[in-house]
Amino acid sequence: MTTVQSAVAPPGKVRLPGTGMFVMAVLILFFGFYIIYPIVLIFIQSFNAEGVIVGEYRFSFVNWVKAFEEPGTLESLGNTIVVFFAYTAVAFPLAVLISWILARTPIRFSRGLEFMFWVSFMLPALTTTIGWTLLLDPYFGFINVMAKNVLFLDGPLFDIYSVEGIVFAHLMGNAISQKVMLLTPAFRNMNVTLEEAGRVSGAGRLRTMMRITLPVMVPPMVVVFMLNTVRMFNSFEIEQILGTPIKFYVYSTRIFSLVREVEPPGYGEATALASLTLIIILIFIPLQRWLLTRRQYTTISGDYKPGLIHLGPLQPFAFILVVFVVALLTVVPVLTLLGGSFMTRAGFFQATPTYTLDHWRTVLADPIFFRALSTTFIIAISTAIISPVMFSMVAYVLVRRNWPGRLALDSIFWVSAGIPGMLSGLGLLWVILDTPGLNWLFGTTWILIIVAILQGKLTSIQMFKSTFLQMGQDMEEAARTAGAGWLYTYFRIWLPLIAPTMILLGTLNFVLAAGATSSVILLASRDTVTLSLLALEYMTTNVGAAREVAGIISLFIVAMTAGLALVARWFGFQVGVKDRGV
Amino acid sequence: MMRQLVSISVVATVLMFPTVSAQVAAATPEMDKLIAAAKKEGQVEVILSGQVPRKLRAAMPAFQKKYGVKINFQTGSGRKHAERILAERRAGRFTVDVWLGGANTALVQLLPNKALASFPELLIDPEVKDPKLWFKGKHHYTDPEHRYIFTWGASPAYNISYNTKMVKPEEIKSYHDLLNPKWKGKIVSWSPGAQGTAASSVPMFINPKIGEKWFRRWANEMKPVIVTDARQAAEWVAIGRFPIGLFGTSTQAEILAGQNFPIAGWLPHPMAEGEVLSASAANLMAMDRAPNPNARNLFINWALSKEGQSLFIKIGEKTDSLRRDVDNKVIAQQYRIDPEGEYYVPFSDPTYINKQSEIITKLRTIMKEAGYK
Repeated sequence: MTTVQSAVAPPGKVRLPGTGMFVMAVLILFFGFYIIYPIVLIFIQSFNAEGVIVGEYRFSFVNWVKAFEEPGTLESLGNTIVVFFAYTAVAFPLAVLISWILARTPIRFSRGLEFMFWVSFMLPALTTTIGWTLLLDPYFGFINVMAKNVLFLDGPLFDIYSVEGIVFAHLMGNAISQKVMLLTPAFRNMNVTLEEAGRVSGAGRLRTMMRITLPVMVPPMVVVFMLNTVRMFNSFEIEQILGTPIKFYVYSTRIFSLVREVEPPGYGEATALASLTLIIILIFIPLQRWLLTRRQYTTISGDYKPGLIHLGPLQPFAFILVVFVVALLTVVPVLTLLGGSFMTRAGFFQATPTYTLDHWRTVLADPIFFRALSTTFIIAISTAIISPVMFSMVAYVLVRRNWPGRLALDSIFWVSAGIPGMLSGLGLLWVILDTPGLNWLFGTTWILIIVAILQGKLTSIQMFKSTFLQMGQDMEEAARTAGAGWLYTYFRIWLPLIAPTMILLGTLNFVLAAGATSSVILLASRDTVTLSLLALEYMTTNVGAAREVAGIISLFIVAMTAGLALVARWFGFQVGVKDRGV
Repeated sequence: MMRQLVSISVVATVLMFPTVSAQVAAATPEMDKLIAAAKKEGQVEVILSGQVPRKLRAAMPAFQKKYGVKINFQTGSGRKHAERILAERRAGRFTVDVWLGGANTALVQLLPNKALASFPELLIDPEVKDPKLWFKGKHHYTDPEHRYIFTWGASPAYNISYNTKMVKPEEIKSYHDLLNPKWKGKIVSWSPGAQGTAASSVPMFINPKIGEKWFRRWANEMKPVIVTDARQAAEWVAIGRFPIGLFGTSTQAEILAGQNFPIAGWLPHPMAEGEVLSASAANLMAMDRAPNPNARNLFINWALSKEGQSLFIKIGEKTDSLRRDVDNKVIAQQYRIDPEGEYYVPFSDPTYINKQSEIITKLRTIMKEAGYK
């Protein structure tokens, strides 16, 4: 079997049947157990007529029928799709352009500006949205009030409580920053000789970008687009705040409502609704394989030459564009978060007293805070270190090895996106509690670390896959000829080349781990409460200035993440390939 | 004058309950035995879920100090705790002794899964056991069998907040005044079918003077703006974007009033349809198969004692005790229960207890039919 596969394998694939079978079996079993088994349990329970929490198991389709016969389901699905494509249509090309400017042109403060997109990604979407409502509320929003007074308008200049407002809030949230974050390192992996060849052949800057740069950047762009699409149903906060008052409902709000607002929770119906994502995934898996295997995407090979392209007179405009977008993405939420933490009521200057230190006192006097800080740091730093190493190796196996079971392993990661964290967290709780030999994990920091690591699996593996696709075979072949095994090759050849992606995904997973709520809420005990869970608790208690207090906790998370990101980037510069403008 | 009134009331209380004073002074052998057994267990695991119970974190050290039994408490969403605890119990792990929190999660999740212990047998302390010391001369249980969910506190329910510059309190004397066309599109509210508003909306639904018809008219004719965040609704009332806020906005409105915004979280007069006592999350439950059964029982008896209840209402601020011998002057006037007052007491009404979920579903349907998903 292995011999046959090896015979048809493309040149450059290393034949190690025994090891390969063993490694793949271990990987499939491990990830299948932690990722697929909880989802299977949740699916089985969705066919339980008695409800997940109450009663004995009784097979029925009642949850599925109820979920889809609810009036307004199709409308909310349509709304979700409209909003998603509206903000993606703006965010995607803009993010590609900004990533290209940051990575491929000699823009000033390139590293600092790129880092600001990371900071924007670290800021909670809720804070960003609230910040913008303070500016764009049609009644009291600062910008609208100013516009009324200065431009003598009858109505608001821009009403954030509208479909356009929801799209805008997504853009100001993570829609742009996350794409820039993920795409910039990929653009840095571009061999300048390819673009130079285009220019020498007489192509202009735009033509070179359209005909040379973008086509070879297909793998990361496809991956980023797909990652966003499968998470289309995961976003609900923005729609809930801005959409509910105008009766604009989206699909994810219904899933959220069934899990968080109905008593007992409608897990069965929520699973049925969320499973729609699986259809998208079933389309995506073969589509992605076709797109990524139909041609060669190598941009880094033995003759790799990093370099930048000057935009001539357009260079200052490119700088202004990037600075403008960075300012939009970061200034408002940072001011809301930081300034609001010193205000009695964030954004309301009428409050008496206007300024206070009480919220900081509340946080610092909370006996759980410092414990949560330490737990969060342990979980997030473990995730930041382990996840890039683990997932880069898995991606390496998926892209570079010809071992059997790669499609199955890859599918495990894609399928995991079919169920939101608030459902899979419950499945994992059942797995941990019901599996002999594993239930000791319950209530420990270990299980939170496992969950936090697994949380970033899909993005990490797909981004690493696209990075490996950009790397040529020649370097690996040289190492192999010199007698190096695959592990040695991985550490000596690949690791320095993928260092920027590792730093990026380490930081990304740190952010996800530090901010995790729904995936860990059922698994944390009183001794392992994290900062994000503490912030969530303040947000959801209808007491005092809980939002400002939650904001301060978020500030600690952002500060911790930004600190780590800075250290990680510095470390990346030391170990990575030099002069690539990392 | 105030001091004199306080002194008179204290003396009156002592005179009214002479037996209580004697009982407090006398520790029973049963209690002594319980204290010794609880000390041996050394700790008690408590869930504090909901607004008032979360505040009661500050009361926990008093128990620890008095009995030398360590209190480990967890706060946060009751629903999440219920899911976790039920999964634990299915796997044979029993980690929680006591639950302070809302009745709905308990009725829908804990009780059907037999996670709660029968309560009356656990009351040992004579000053807790005696029903005469409690409101209406009885212990109150918010469950169909009257033995699992002990309701220890309540306060008059306030469902309406208003901008004091835009609305005169006398304009709203009845819930039917809110159906006046002049308020069309001018009311912001949490959905009456949301879990957080059930304590307000369900009694209104049951009240024959309000009922289903009122909700249908309100949702269809008044075109209220529904939000999912009470703070957002109250802020909109405070800044005058909406003159009236309904369902779940009062707590936030009072916080805003304290910050000098022109808003009030309660009307200075009772509504024409009558006053309602709301227990909200002021319930105490004992977990079945508790890991520390003696410490659990000791905590329950302490929490319901005069000492425990005095501390609870002082720290909780917005809930009065159902114990009649507790000095409730530590809380603001509008939250005190008037012993002579006429209230609808939902937690004593079988319709409220048994049909709560059904009514919430009906309210959701009404809202959906009016275009609110």
